[in-house]
Amino acid sequence: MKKREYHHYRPYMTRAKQLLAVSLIVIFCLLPLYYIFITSLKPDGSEYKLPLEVWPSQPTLQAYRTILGGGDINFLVPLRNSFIVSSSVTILTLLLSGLAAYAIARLRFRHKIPSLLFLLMGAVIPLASTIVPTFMLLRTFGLLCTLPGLIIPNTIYNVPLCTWLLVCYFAEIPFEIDDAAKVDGYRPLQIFWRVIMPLSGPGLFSAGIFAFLGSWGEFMLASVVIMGVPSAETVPVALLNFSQYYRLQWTWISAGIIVSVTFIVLLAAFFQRWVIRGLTAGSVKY
Amino acid sequence: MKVEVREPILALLFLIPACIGVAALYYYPIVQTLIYSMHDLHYTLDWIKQPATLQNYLEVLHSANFWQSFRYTVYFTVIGVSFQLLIGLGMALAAFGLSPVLRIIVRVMIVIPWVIPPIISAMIWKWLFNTDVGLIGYILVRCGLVAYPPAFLSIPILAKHCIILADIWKWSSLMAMFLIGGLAAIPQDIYDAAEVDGARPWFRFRKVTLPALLPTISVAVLFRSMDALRTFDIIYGLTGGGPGTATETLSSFAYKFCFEYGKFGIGSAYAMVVFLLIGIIAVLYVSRIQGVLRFRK
Amino acid sequence: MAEVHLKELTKKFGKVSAVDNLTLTFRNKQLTVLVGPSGCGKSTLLRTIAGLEMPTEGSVYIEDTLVNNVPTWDRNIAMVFQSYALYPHMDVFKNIAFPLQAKKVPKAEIKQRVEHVVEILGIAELSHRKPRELSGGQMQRVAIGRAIVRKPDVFLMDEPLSNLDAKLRVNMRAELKHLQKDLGVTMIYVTHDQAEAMTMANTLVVMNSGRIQQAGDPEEVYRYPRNMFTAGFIGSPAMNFIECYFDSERNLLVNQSFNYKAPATVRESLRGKLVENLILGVRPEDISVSLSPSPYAVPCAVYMTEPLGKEVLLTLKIGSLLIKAIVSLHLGLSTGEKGWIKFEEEAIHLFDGISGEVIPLPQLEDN
Repeated sequence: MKKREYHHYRPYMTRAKQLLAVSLIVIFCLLPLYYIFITSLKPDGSEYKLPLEVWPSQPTLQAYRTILGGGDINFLVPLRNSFIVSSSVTILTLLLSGLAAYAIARLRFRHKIPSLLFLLMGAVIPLASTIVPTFMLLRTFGLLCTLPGLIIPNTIYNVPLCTWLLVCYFAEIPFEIDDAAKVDGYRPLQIFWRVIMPLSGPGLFSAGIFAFLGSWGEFMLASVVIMGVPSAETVPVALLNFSQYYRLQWTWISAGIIVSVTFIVLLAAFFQRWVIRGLTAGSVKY
Repeated sequence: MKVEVREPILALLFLIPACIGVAALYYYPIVQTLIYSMHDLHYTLDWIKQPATLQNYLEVLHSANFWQSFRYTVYFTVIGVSFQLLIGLGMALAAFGLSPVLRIIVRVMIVIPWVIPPIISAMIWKWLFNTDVGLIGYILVRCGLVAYPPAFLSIPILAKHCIILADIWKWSSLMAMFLIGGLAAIPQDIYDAAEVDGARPWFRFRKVTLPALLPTISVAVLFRSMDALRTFDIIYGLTGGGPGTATETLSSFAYKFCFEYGKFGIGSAYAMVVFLLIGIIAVLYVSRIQGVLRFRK
Repeated sequence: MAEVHLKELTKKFGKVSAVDNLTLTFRNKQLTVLVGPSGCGKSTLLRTIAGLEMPTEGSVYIEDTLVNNVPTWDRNIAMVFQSYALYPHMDVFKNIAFPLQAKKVPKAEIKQRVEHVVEILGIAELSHRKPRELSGGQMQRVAIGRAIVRKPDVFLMDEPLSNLDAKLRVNMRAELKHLQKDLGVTMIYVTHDQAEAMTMANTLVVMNSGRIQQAGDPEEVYRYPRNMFTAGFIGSPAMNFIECYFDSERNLLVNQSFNYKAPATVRESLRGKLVENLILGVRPEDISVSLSPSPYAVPCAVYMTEPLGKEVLLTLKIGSLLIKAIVSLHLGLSTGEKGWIKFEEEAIHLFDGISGEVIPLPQLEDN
């Protein structure tokens, strides 16, 4: 029989199989990014040389210096914008979704399911189908080419998913806690702030991460709202425009990509537990 | 009782901000898009708006563009989601057989493709598919499959599938994460019971693991399909819809007709078709979700 | 029908030994009960026999065949789990048919055997229900059905009744015992409930910390415990333990709260031997309490009374010592009153206070 290790009732694959599986997964997930990474370390122009190397023979930070340089190209501006937008979106989304989810999960009123469906059905509506009127709406309010013009829509785009997530998390807190707090003399709003919110830390965290990640990578709306105003571009738009303008300078484009994704990759890697937990929060139970 | 009166009002207050937002930026716009789609609306030097009821739709339905992009959208969805499911399943099952240290490594790894914004992953793959120095071409040549790397993104049939490949790379991890959650929800002792009952590993997988996973799989597939049907970013970033119109999807045409050709009426019609498709899937999705939520009644 | 033999079996999880160098034989066609507190290793032992755990050292033999390297699915065993472990997506019929399907039994035969089993267990009408639609007791029966449909060599039961309510549990004990007898299978039953163990076992094995404390007939284990652990674990209410030493001059067992005249058996066995650090053990039902003094009886005060129906459990205070005694309802003692107690001579146990081992006392003629 093959030698399996058992530890506390959970069989593992053989050591060899484990390493094989992990290697395949690592290669699958990282290889594309790795290739971009080594491209970004090549001297300008040399990215078109064959044969390809596992590690550049003359690594240099030239590309990074160019794009972060502050001359023609400054990637720090889009980074800053994206950061502002995503942070604001996260906070606002948590606020809006948190309140709504709390109401649905823990307060007593009729029409709960309709309310939840009202909020969730938004997710079904594709952005492509709403972008034109949204554009018109933003134009009417003078929000085009502004960061709030991105923040507000992105907040709403995250509301359905985050509300659903938070409803699941709030529903898991025992109701006796509310009752105990009421007996102790707390009023509903106080219960919300001082009792429920702290307890749902992980849920809020997961929802927050989703909101942040979602708004960081949003492209379609950003490309439409920020029309040709470089100082207000977010990272995805900036990068695309950059890649179209400097079409052949792949060292620069690669550097831009690395700069753009490093932050969120680190963020997600660090918080992968909450990310995965959040995704499975509403999963089917037996 | 004070409490009985208070809570519904409080709930209303809590719900209003989110509801107003959703109404303003989801429901109002979709209705507007519907209206636009029924008008002859375009922008050359000035806005021209004339009612045209179904004329846009007729025009669209008769256009080769529409049918081609419709076919590609569906093809893209079906092939893409199937492979994402297979690869995701492989990753999820592997993740479950690993010792704790390796498991963490894998969990970090699979988060990465998902987290990278679609438009940026499109750019990454653009470089990978570069004819001269792209990694994919290089690998193919090295393996002896072709003599010269083909022009991936310039040959329609290749471009179509390259995009699907990039999409698979990006979204397999999401499927894996869903499936990990689903696998974790299966009580562990039924595996023990199956072993004792004489089930060899493959039989056990077929008859216990997979059926138990089926609800999760169907939810994940529907969820991902809804997203796949509205794909825009990856198309735009990799090929911009080209070569020619080979890789246009309904969403990309909607965008283009509106913001590049200025034909808002036609673009809105495309947008409504996308919405319709997704709506159908959504109905299936909602009927599948058996929420085990205990609300306070 | 097979005998299961364990030889020097050790199972470690990291540094902790869940099962420690255990050698034991489960006799053919017997109902052997493994009993012990949580964490004593009984479940691990069961799982090792099943093949769900691999032994760190030692061997497992089923019917004289070494099965260490035989995978679980090839060992002809059946197991009933504490949580029943029914397949949630299959109905009752398919659950029970599953083991037969795994062995590629022809469909017609599967149908026949499954129908037979559900008849025996009285769950025929539930055949098409899913586990989530069943009650605890019903799920239990399905789990048992799944086990018996295969006609295995050995039956393993891991606390199968723990999740049932008290009344059902008592009924099921009798049913399971009958079933074992009718089918004539070797059954290894794990429980933490000593009363359950006592009622069901042909052979009782008491475990603690991965080791066997005592194995034998239930009555033998009850009457003649070989160490303090077994004595204290088996029997409810538990045996009283009183620290004392033997004063050989005055023939007294001396405790700081009282002196007790040592019975003849004690005098004999302790002559010339270790006389300090003794533990006197006596079960509550072996203490007689009377309202009037008698020679050599020890006075005490009633600290607490707990009526148990036809008996009363008295907690008696002697000096600073509290001991429990079971007396008839008719005695009529209430809290605060005084009584005099005597220990049943043949039922006194003496233990070495340091090792916990019993000090054997010569048997009086008792048949």
